[in-house]
Amino acid sequence: MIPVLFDFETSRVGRHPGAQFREVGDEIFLVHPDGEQIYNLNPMAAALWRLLKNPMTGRAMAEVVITAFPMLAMAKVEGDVKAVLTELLAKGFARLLS
Amino acid sequence: MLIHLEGIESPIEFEGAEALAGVLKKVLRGWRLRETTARTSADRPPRIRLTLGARGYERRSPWIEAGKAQVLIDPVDAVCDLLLDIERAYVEDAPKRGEAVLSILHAAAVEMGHGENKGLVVFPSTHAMGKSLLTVALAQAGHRVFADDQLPIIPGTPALGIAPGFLPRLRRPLPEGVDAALAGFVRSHTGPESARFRYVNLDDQRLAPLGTRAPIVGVVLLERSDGAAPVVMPATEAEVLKACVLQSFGRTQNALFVLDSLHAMVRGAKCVKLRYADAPEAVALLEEMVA
Repeated sequence: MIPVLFDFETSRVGRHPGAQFREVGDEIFLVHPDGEQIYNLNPMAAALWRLLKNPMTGRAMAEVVITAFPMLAMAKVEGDVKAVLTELLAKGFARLLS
Repeated sequence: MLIHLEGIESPIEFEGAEALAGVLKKVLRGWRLRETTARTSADRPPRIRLTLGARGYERRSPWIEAGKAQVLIDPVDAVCDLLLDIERAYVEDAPKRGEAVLSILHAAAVEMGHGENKGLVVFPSTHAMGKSLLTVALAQAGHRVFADDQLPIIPGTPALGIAPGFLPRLRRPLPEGVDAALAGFVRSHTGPESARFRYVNLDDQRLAPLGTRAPIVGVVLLERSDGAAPVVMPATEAEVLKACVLQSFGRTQNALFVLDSLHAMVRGAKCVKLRYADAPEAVALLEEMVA
């Protein structure tokens, strides 16, 4: 994994244009831009991937999730969003945008 | 010494490792094999080379890190590992045979059912879930084994599994408490064995020879647990696809094509989870499922 400097509040994250995916039930299977690796997203990570159709910051993503699921604790949502975006960036399925 | 296996372009070279060739011939089914003592100008350079060195049987191939060798002391263990490379070579050379093979699934596959419902039930490999012993139990019950560890597949609707033509192999010793009749069947069908593994010598009725094809009609994720009451449960497409993706290797195609093909295979098959403790009980449940 490549370490990525990602600011949750200000870094806009988008899907890598070379990444492809398939929806299977409520999960997603990603195919890496290298055309070789297949990566599975559980339902929570899959939902976040769908939000990345439009690039956004981690903060904006967490706000969308909390609006949809107000019963969730913000700290937990922030943690999950941070973890998923960090992994997608490190694995090369997503990228930082200016 | 060189062994030429029909369907694989380049011969396998045995240098001082002729004992392995003897074991190899005993575990292959349906392979046409020719032995020569030296390379001719017509022979392609061997891709797989075996040598008896000071540390044991050393194997070098395109699928082992360059400059390194896989070393095993026991000839049966060395052949167990050699079969992986033989399968990879067979899949890689498929286009030269005019075939389109997708990849290899690390899975067992047994032909079950009757008439229109007849086809392969595939068991993707998961650690210590008893896949190989269950495969042999299905053979004991009269079903034809296609594979116990590696299954080449051809994409399509339905996807087809191709028998690799290898005897099934069990870890030694058999688990404690294994059904007495099953243990007896294994003992009476013992093939080459080492301290770690025992091949089970199935006849042509119970083992499909190399190249036999059958449609994949079921995918079963195994969960073996001591004392568990046997039960078949629904499995989601995603969890079955995940298991198949994790267990596919030797790919000759782009990952998206592989993913779509495996997904089509999973969509076209009955997908379940089987929780069990005892292989004969699992056999009975599987027979009910395909009936």
